[in-house]
Amino acid sequence: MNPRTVIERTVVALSTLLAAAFAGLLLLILGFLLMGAWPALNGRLLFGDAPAWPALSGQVPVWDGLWPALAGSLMLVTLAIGIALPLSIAAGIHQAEYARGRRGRLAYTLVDLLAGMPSIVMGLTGFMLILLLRNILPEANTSLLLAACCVALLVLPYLVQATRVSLHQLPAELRLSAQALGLSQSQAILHVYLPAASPGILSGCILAIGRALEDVAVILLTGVVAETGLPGSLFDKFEALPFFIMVTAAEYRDEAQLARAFAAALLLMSLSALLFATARQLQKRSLS
Amino acid sequence: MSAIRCHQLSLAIGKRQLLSNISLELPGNKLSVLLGPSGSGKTSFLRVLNRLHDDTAGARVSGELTLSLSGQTIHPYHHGTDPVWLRRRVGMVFQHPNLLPGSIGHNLRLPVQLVKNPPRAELAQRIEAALREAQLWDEVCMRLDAPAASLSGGQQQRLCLARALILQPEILLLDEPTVSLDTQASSDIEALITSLKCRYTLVMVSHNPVQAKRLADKIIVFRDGSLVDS
Repeated sequence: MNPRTVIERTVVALSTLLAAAFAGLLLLILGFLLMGAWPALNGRLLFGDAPAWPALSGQVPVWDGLWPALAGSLMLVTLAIGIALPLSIAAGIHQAEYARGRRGRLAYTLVDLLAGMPSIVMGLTGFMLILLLRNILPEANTSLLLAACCVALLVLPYLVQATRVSLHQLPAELRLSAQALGLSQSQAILHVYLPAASPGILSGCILAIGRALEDVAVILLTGVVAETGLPGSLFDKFEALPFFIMVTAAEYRDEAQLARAFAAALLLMSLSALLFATARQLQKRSLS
Repeated sequence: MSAIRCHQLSLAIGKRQLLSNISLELPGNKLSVLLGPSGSGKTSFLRVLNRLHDDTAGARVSGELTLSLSGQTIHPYHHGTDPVWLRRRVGMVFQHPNLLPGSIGHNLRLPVQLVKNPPRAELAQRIEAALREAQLWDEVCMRLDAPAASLSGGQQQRLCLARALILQPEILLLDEPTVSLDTQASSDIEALITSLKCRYTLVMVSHNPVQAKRLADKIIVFRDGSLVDS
């Protein structure tokens, strides 16, 4: 057999094997989580002994269910992405379409630096902010809003980079077409370039959602607590699934509590998958 | 009457001289064909006319260029001339159909809404008129919401022509519009161009002398960025 064919076949076989191993690993983790969570997978998982509908709306507190942590995570991610997305798209557009020369390079470098910053530093920044704010507003305290702002800062560089790269990768012909049609630069960006770049921006959004959902270090210092129920407002403390998992896994008193931590991990994965699927659907719709 | 005049017009990008001392006059409401081998400067000249080199790093245009638009003499490279305003009056169709992502209707609706912003009732009429002018209406009238990319190459190029025409330009620049098409689609586009030349000032790039002789009212030959004959 031709040596090149042997090498090609070996590479293909190895790639297939590694892809299968990766899928197998994912199934193994899911199976492990499912086994650990099995005793807790029952009707009491989300709301404990509280009735479902009043608990959903926060009329009745949930003490031994995962609903407050699930809702807290969902609120945190929605708020953080809601804050970060418009800012980062604006910054990405500026870097791709307007920033030139030394100032442009400086902006690129600063965003790249922000991307490499440890998340605990982001949390510490938020915490310091509250300490400073207390000089003016003595009531200022860590809260859902502060945590969402810090998580937004954490995911901002991913979204800026995704916007910048997606805009840079647009074909030159599309730009020429928009210009030749007599569109101003802002019209071309808003109506031609951004819609064409939206699949790439949404991919960045998916990454950012995953990052926002799993991070504990930022929220640890900015407002998350173990058992507080649903936050009544943006200025209240909140619960979150990754924090619940961390605390329960470290301090569980019996097997039932550990099973709830496993169930929370399973729920976190499901929530992540649901948000990814939603983003993919939006991506498909924008492409059609 | 000349619609386009240039005197000693030159274009350089960085250290590379693409056009040298071009002096010519192109008649209004006629078809002028720019002929020459690849790399001779035809497309570069065409893009000078609507300032499409503006965003190219290191591009420098020198010499005189005047366009006759709406009865006025316009100097495209004077400080007071807005390139966006200029491009709305000097339309362009490229070698390959450069469609906007989206449907057939979207490709026409978007530019006309952004540039002319007509009332909703007039919009549909304008779309139909542009598609009829580009001889595409009968083929697409029942599927304006279909993706533009689903059209054949010739249909896509006619859609690009309709998209340029819907903005009611006075000068239309055509950069080898038949180069990527088969014989039938090419002859459709050629017939269309012939029908348009009494209403618009057309400047077309071609490297096919037979096509140029068949269509042109005036032929200008480029070689190595300079004019050979006109």
